[in-house]
Amino acid sequence: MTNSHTDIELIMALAEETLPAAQAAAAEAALDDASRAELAVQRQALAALADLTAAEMTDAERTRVGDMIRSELNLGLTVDASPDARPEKGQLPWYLRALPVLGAAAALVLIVGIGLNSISFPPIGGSDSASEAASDVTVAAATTGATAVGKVAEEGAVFDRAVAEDFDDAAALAAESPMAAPATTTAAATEEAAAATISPASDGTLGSLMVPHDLGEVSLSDLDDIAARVEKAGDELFQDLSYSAARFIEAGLVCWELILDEGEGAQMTYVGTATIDGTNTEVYRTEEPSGLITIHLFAGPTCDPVALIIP
Amino acid sequence: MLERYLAGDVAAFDQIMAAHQDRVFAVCLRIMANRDAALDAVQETFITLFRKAGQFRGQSALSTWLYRVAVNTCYDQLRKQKRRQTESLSDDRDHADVATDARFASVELRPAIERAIESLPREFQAAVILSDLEGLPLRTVADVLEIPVGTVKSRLFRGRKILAESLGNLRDPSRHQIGDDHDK
Repeated sequence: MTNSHTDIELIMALAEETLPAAQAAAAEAALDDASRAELAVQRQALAALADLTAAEMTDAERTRVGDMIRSELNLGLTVDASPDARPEKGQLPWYLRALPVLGAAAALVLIVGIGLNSISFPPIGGSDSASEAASDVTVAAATTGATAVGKVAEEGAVFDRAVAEDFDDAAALAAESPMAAPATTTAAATEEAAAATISPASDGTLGSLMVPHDLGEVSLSDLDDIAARVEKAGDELFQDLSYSAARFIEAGLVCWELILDEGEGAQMTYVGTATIDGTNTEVYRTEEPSGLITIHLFAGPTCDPVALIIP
Repeated sequence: MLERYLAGDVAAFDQIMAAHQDRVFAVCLRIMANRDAALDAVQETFITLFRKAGQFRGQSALSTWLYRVAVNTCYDQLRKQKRRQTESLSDDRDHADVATDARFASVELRPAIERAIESLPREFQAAVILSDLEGLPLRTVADVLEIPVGTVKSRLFRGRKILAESLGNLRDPSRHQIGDDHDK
């Protein structure tokens, strides 16, 4: 008897003693020598594994690990918690603590971005096949530049208002926070950053570089198309977009962090938005040091993964 | 429970930890064969779990998802550990020799079965640990490892076979002589 799939299952069932006794006895009696030898090996391994003592954490280890995780998640230490204790800086939500730094970064990027040429992303959808769509992209990119610039400039104004609203929201949120002292600092920093980002640009394309690309309405069946377009597009399309002020809202930052957690040393870029079968989706692109590109699509604002494309 | 945590209920954090941390630790300890490294992996696993809690859609049990994160975290850390050791070997030969001797010494003090588990190829090791040591149903192991149930069975079968062969080799007198030399 050879180790066919059925034989393996039977031998495993006999070794694990999952068969009724009578059935097991009959089955074992019918085994040939090779199968008996296999059964003995399986039993030997299972017996050795059964001898292992249980692996358990000590109470001290549980406390240490729990505290480390709480600290990392900014949940505070349970043992030190008291109702009237003054909240510490570490208990502020991480995205609020990150606001001053990210606000300053966004302001810097915006200022650098002002005056640079607007960029456009080819529209997606409407084609029956990937190759047809791909050629559409080339045509669209070549012929709709002026329209795209106008659209981006218009989006820039919308973006401009969104920036101010985001900062206002963050400031209000921070001001209402029970963590009064650090929140005041955060609010002041964000107001300052907001003031810096809403300065008008001379060419009327305020913040256009910062506007996330809208990849349009796409069906899940068009994901290859998205991959092809993101792949085809040069890095210049994505520069600095990861610091888009739109990322200041919590959901965006969470999505961002999720991606950063995916791989050590991976470069991540926020590409823009797309509507995948009616779901508003955030599109990110990561590039491993090995050059492997992955495209992530998350449903905003919950960051639920919609799709992962490895072109 | 994750929904409660996401809604800001910190008590849910404690409940999740209490319900799962020992089992996650057991898996990590078997994979990593080092207590401190296993504790680090447990920590990393739960941090990942809570940070990505919003991604959990409830299509599988929380424990299944948690085991998957744990197994991936442990192997990821082992890979990083190996890379660091390699770098250390090339950077500082003398230091590495000391570390290697210490590692062998500690390995020899552990039961043969633990060494045999450690020596299993990764794909068989994970199946054996989750199924035979942790007692997870085959369906759950398949979900955790994202492979078909049939593949889990064949990996278990082959994993146990390799394990039994390793135990035979580890009990070989010539191998014990090496351990004895180190103990002296």
